[in-house]
Amino acid sequence: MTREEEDPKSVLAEYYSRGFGVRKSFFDGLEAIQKKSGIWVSSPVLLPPMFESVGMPALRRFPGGYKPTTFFLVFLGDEVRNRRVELSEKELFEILSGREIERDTGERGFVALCFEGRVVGCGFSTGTRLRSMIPKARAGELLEALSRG
Amino acid sequence: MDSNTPSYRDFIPDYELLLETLAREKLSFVRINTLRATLEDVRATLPESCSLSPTSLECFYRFEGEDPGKTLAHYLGYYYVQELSAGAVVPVLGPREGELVLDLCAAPGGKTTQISQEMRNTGTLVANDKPHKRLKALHANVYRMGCLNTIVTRWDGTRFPLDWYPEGFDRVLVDAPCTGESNHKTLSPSVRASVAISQLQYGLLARAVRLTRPGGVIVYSTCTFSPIENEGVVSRILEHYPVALERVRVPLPSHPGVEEWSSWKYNPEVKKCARLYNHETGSGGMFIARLRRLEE
Repeated sequence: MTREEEDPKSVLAEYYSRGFGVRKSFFDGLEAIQKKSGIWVSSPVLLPPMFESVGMPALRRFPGGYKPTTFFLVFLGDEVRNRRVELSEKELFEILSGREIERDTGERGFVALCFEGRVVGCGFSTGTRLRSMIPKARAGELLEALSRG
Repeated sequence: MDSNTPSYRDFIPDYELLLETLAREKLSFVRINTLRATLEDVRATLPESCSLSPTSLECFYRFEGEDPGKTLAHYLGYYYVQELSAGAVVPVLGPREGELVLDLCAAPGGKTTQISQEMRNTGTLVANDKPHKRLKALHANVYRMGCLNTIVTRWDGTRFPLDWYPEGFDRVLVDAPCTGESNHKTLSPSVRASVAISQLQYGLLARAVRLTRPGGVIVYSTCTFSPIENEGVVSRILEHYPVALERVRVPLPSHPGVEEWSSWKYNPEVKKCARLYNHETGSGGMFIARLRRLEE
């Protein structure tokens, strides 16, 4: 079976379960919709013939596969049990400003960036270095929130 | 003020106080997003300089501090910055779990995300708006607040397809584009502007009636004071469509709809509608009408 033929809900549950330690049962009762841009997650809804979006984007297409979305990682929150990288305020400022920071995570791949124990978005680790994958507009909102303490 | 426009002084109580209130900065209110957080979650993430105090509206709190839209709690989708008066509309619509609901003019998404919250992320909520840049804000707010039961569509609301949901919606909200007088620092009513936009408002409400199943509920709201855009639009709908007005009750100071203004006379049923004024709510102004769709 090719990726295109795979059940998007299975892809979604497998991705977040294997990569981030999210319980597979979390996805019970949810639906996944495959779009060109990636996989979207929603509760069971009656879809019209045409729509802009349904629920929220959970996985974006990325060279070689998928990347997690900041919106969905934040939504998952404490459900994310693996690949959490806790950052100090100074470190978060650094990577939200577009710079890489040194951080030994042990493996290459996407991670959940955390601040004060809460998931705040998606990052990418080379194994020893870390950068933010939070979309620019969202990163700007987070920077503003941090700036006021 | 447009020289041909009669004053609102005749029907707005303490009119001078309203004018003073409009000129001042509004208080800030937030709605806790119970899909994502509790009051304690919000309090735990707020800066020490900010605090919350309860209001008469469920889930709404007065935000004391600067910039409620620039906090970690806001970023995480724990709350939505929303005026009390705007927050009074969705409880009048009364969405329930599992229903099929349409928000015809949804951007930027304050009432949409509130409906989703009331529905506890079940059923189907269609959030529609015509193509414009506020649609981007609608998407962002739906995602941030975790509204998994929400479908965003991009359509001119006066032409929203009738055959997409042939059984009809259980509830439809028309939070119509308006002259927005309650958001202005000074009040400059214009009959010409109100008459012009009332054509669009009528078209949206008429479409909403056709999209609602018999027995279903339609709520029409604006954030303007002009009777032309409020009681005038509702009166015309009562004349041409199978609907009945139901009395609007809100947990904020309010007044009945205006039956006449200057030379205009409206259907006496409009007194069942509610008018909210800035100087009495401590927040914004609002007009709210609730209609029941009848059998043909």
